[in-house]
Amino acid sequence: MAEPQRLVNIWEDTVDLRHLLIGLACGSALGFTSYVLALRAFTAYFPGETPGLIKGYALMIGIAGCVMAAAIIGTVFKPKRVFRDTDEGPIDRSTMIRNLALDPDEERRALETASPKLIREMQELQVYDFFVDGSRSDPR
Amino acid sequence: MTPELLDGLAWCVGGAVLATLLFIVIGLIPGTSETATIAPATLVVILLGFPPAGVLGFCLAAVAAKHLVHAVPTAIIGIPGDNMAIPMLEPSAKLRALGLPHIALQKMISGGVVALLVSVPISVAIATLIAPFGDLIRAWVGPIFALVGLALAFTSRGRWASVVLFVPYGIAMQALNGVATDLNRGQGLSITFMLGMALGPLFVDVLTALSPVSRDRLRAAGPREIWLAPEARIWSGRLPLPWAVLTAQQLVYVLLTSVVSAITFTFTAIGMTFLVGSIVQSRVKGFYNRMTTALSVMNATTESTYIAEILVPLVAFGLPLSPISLTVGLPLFNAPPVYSTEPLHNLHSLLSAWQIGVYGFIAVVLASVITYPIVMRYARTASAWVMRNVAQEAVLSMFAGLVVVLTYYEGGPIGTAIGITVGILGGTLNKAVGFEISAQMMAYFAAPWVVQTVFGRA
Repeated sequence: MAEPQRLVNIWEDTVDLRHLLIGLACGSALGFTSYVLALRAFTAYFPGETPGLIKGYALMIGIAGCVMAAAIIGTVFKPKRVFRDTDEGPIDRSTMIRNLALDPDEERRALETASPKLIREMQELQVYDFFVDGSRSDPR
Repeated sequence: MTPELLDGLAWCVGGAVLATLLFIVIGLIPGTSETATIAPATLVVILLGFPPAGVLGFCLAAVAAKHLVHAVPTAIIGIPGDNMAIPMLEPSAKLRALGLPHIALQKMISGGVVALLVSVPISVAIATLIAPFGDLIRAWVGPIFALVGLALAFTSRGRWASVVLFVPYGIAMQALNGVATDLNRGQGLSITFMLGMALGPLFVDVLTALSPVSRDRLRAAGPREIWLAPEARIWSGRLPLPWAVLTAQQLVYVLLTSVVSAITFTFTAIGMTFLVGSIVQSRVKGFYNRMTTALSVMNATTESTYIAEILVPLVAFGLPLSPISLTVGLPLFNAPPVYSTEPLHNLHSLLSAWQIGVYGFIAVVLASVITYPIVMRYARTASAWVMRNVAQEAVLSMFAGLVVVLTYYEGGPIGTAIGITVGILGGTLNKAVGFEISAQMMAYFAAPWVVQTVFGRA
């Protein structure tokens, strides 16, 4: 379904540009319509209520509209990212470091003075080597 | 134990449990503002005739539970759980990119619980000590945000560029706010600015992808691979205890912020969260440590500012003298015909400082005990499910909807227009010269004071 030439990276993840634009239009339209219609309906049915409270309830409906849009888009379009669980092996770590725009030397220096608890924590999460090895294999 | 005390305790426990269960569900829905949910729910409870102990237990447990659960969508999907979660979007996104959304979540809620436990006693103590100086503290909000903001701008990626941009950007924000005030003939906007700045990079990404001139910069060779770190027991001992999940340094920061939040109870809570987050990020070295510390302390601040901003004015004056007590906590002060500030007949006069402290503490403990284990247990399972099944397109379409609905709710059509303008302006400066979101927020918060002091006519 997704055309490779339409893939772009937006906010740290890959999307199909056409799917994204449909999604953005759908989200804004559905959210906006639900809010405005709810506001009209509540104002007409509860004339005595304070405007603040009515706006608050309409906001709930508006947010429900946004959630609905996300559910529709999520059902129609599948994720483009490739998910790897821990045991499926690591991915290219030096790319990750580059994507995060980190200075490898600074990272290594920071780890030299880190507390033992912090280092144990990072090792358990298998991210300790990211910052130690990642800097060595970095081509810069 | 006297029958009245037993009665009060029972109501407090009942109110707290009810609020916790209710707000665990509401907290999971992204974008639900605290003012629009906690305030009306508390009002309903008051009008139903809950006694003061039950009302206080309900309101504080609602705040506590909501600000623990709001970390769930923020950390694992990247959509802010509510307004107070907006500052935590950026660090959460970075940890998600490293395969650590579940750790982001666990650190956030651990910071939150520790802050809850210490905030109630600290707030009650501070209320009895420094409350008379409330006005003095309020007068210093502007200069403090300006000075700290400039320092943060300098330590951010943009360095001198961010310092140079600090005042012009603030003026631009003031000008936009002026347009809104003028057109709507009312109050200025705030959530609109927060959302615009936080989502700036997203606006700019979409613009870049739309233009044939720049599209190639974002073009992906293939789908991005996302890895998820193992379910690690980052705590010592059998059960996850919030203070064992945090490192010593993180604990110290959380405790410090809780004290500072109580003293600065007249400050904007969301501004404090940004401020605290940026200070921590400029002081802590090492990416993993910096991000996890920032998140635990920021979520701690979302709890401690709320508790302090409700309890300090409640115990000291019985008048809503802080931003949060004027919005989320207002029913505790003024809920006609049951409570009123004129004459003073509300929780301040109905409960002693001692009772407010005890009932408040019970409420936050119950909210934590119910919420914490569930979130800790399912953090990684939920993250893996989201990464496998939820398309980024769906997340971003929800964002688009939330931006439109929330900005329109706050400021009508011009609100939405300003939100997008702020996003494009801030996002461009962020991408081009590294003028970071936190520095932009500080420029915005300091702007009224800076503009008045530097350019105002005496």
